[in-house]
Amino acid sequence: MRGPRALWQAWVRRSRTKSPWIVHFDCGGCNGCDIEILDTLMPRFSAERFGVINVGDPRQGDILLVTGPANLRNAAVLRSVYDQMAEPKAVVAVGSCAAHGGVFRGAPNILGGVGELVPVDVFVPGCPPTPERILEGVIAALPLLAEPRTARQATGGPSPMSIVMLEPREEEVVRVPAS
Amino acid sequence: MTRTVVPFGPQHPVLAEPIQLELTLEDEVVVDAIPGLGYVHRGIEAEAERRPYDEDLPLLERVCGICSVAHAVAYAQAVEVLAGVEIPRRARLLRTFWFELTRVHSHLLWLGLAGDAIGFEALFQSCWRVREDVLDLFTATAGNRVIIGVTALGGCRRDIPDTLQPTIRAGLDAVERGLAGIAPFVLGSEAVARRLAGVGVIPRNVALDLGLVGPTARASGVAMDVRRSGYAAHDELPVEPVVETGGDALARTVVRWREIGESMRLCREALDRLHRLPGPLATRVPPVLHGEAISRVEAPRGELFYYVLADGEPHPTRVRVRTPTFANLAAVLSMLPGTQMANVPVALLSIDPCLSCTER
Amino acid sequence: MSLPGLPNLLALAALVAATALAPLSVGLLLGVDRRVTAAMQLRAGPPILQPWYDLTKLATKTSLPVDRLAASLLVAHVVLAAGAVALVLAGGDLIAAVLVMGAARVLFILAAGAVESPYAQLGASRELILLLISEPLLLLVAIAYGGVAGSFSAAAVAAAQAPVLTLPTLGLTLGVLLAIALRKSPFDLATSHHAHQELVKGSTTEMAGFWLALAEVGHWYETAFVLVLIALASLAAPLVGIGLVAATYTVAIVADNTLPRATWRSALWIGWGIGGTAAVIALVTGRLFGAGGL
Ligand code: SF4
Repeated sequence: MRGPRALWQAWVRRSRTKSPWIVHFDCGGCNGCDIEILDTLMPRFSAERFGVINVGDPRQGDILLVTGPANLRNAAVLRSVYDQMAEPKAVVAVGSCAAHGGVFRGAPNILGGVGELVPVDVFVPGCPPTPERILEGVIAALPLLAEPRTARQATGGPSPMSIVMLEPREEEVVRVPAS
Repeated sequence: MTRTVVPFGPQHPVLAEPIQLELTLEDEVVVDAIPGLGYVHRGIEAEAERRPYDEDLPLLERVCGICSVAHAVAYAQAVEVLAGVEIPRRARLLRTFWFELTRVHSHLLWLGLAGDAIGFEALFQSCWRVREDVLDLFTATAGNRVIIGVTALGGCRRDIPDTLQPTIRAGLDAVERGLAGIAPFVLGSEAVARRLAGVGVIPRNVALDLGLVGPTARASGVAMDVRRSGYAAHDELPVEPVVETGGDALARTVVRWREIGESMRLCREALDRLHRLPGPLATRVPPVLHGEAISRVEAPRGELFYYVLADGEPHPTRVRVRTPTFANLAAVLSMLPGTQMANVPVALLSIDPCLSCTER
Repeated sequence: MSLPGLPNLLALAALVAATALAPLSVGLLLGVDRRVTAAMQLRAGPPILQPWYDLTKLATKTSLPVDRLAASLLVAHVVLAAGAVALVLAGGDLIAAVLVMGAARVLFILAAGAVESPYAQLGASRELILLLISEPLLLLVAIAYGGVAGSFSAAAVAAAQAPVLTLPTLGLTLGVLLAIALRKSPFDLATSHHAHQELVKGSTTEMAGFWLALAEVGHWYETAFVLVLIALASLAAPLVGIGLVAATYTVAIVADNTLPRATWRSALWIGWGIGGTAAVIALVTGRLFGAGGL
């Protein structure tokens, strides 16, 4: 028999991991990733079955989905969006740009990867990644929402900078036919 | 009368992209709008001057993830002019096929977002559901859903073999069935029409003065469509511009909706001509070029213009891009004053702004 | 003064439990609602318990600094809303309960408008419009009930013979009220679960975490209030009540999925036009054929 306190805690953990409200911030990407993120909410991928709601207000969000390479103009905005979110929260970097600048790496206005600005928990590679894999990334971040970051560190849970790397799938490797 | 200044964005859910608008309101009516841009500036033009011609192609495709084919084709055409090469007929038809399919997916995407902006969520969902079928066609022909990378300098990188044609035709049929399914909620719906009519009106003379392009201009009665210049396969597949005269958000919706049908027709005709058509996919383009060239295409949002300057080096000396949204943004600023706050998202969306194109 | 007897204590405990459970069952109803809406859009919806998950998560988020005034208004809002529901459940005066609920919602509007954000203020003004539609209707419903039962006490109405059956059009008013409480089309002006627009989410723009959870609970109480009113009118014929809720749902969900969001003007006209007319007809027939004059 577990005490009511333990039951309540289990319920809270469950609720926190089953209600990921996402905040999407485009940090200078090309729209490809952003559209695919919206696509996860559409009938075919039905992200709402995991409790996902796309909220506009960072302060109501749990998971920050960032796309695009951070640039000099939006770095501060990204940082403030992240700071406005309440713990427990997680950051998922969607797309190659968000991981390291992608195709834009080295371009004049590019900082190169959002990891420079906010602690990223999950990287979802791809240019753009398919909606399935964006969802996979969100799901990979769910366990991190059970506890606030500080509690996570104290109890030896997943550390703040743990990275879940999703390998590219076979069908996503584009082969150019030899002419 | 109370004046409020509403910061709109940069992070906000109406568009997927960050744009900032400082709206001054009198009660709920907008009296002034000042945009703040640059949140998605990456410096692509400058970067393109540092990379070889062929490596610029994947970079420029990522100017915009929605109309990436348009950017690729426009850039490739400019380089082909520099090289003085003719691309094979097969490649021209393939380009048109993917280009028009891009238009279908882009317009459906927009229609969904517009539905969302008027609080019609079911329309949003169903448009995007049909769009999935279009993306399936991209996956079947190019292996990727969104940025398909099919264009090459001098032609195309990928082919549509005749064996694939039945699959694609079945896919086009599925898209058409889906379109027929949502048609009653787009043009047939009184409520939608009432919500869109009279929002963000741009009269014909203003459209001409501001130099608007694409569906935004055509909805104001300006019959211009770059496809008439006959690029890609449009010399053998001519298009008549779809023109409306209302000049409001409703007219823009109607124009885009009719263009979807037009593009579906072009896709099918391109497929017909591709059947049993022999020939290479691409012509060789030398790595070092001289001179300057311009190129125009009709992107889903309007005229897309590329200028490439070559100085005999393996990379271009200058790449200049003029995007349709850059031309049309002026329209937003001219139509926002006098608009109800609740209509701002609709008015803003009605030109189908693409910021990552505009800011590059 | 004598100590309350055991039966009284039991009754009190039952009242407290019922008041606490009321919003939770509304949560379940909303869970079903989200499933049905998703199915209408050919999506897979969230679990039925999703509203409970959302609420728990919000309530246990680490708190962010809040506006003191808005916070206390929100607390008072929930207390009053719960009080209004408890008042009806305890068999108290309906008119008083309606007024208490109105006051609760005014507090919410003040809380929403207390912050600087122009979005929140726009949202608050839309909430106000909804209140303007629903409060007179609620009063009319209470008066019509009173006309049938001969008394405004909820206990008397419960004891009377099924007012909904004798006052056919009253069901329409109750349906409109339910649609407003659930913020269904065309009354989805101020808040919506799936909207991606700040304008629509307006009234809760500045709320987050625990405070957003409070606002949510208050909203659940508001819905529970209408549901309790419907139950009260259909005690003699529970199927009528269930049918009414189901019919309202069907109409509202179909409207939600085939129409764009209405402007506040049309919401006002639809609300008063349909709900008000129906209530007045019910009132007049209640007067003519009711059990006792007022
Ligand atoms: S990763 Fe690729 S698709 Fe995504 S935003 Fe960057 S360039 Fe676009």
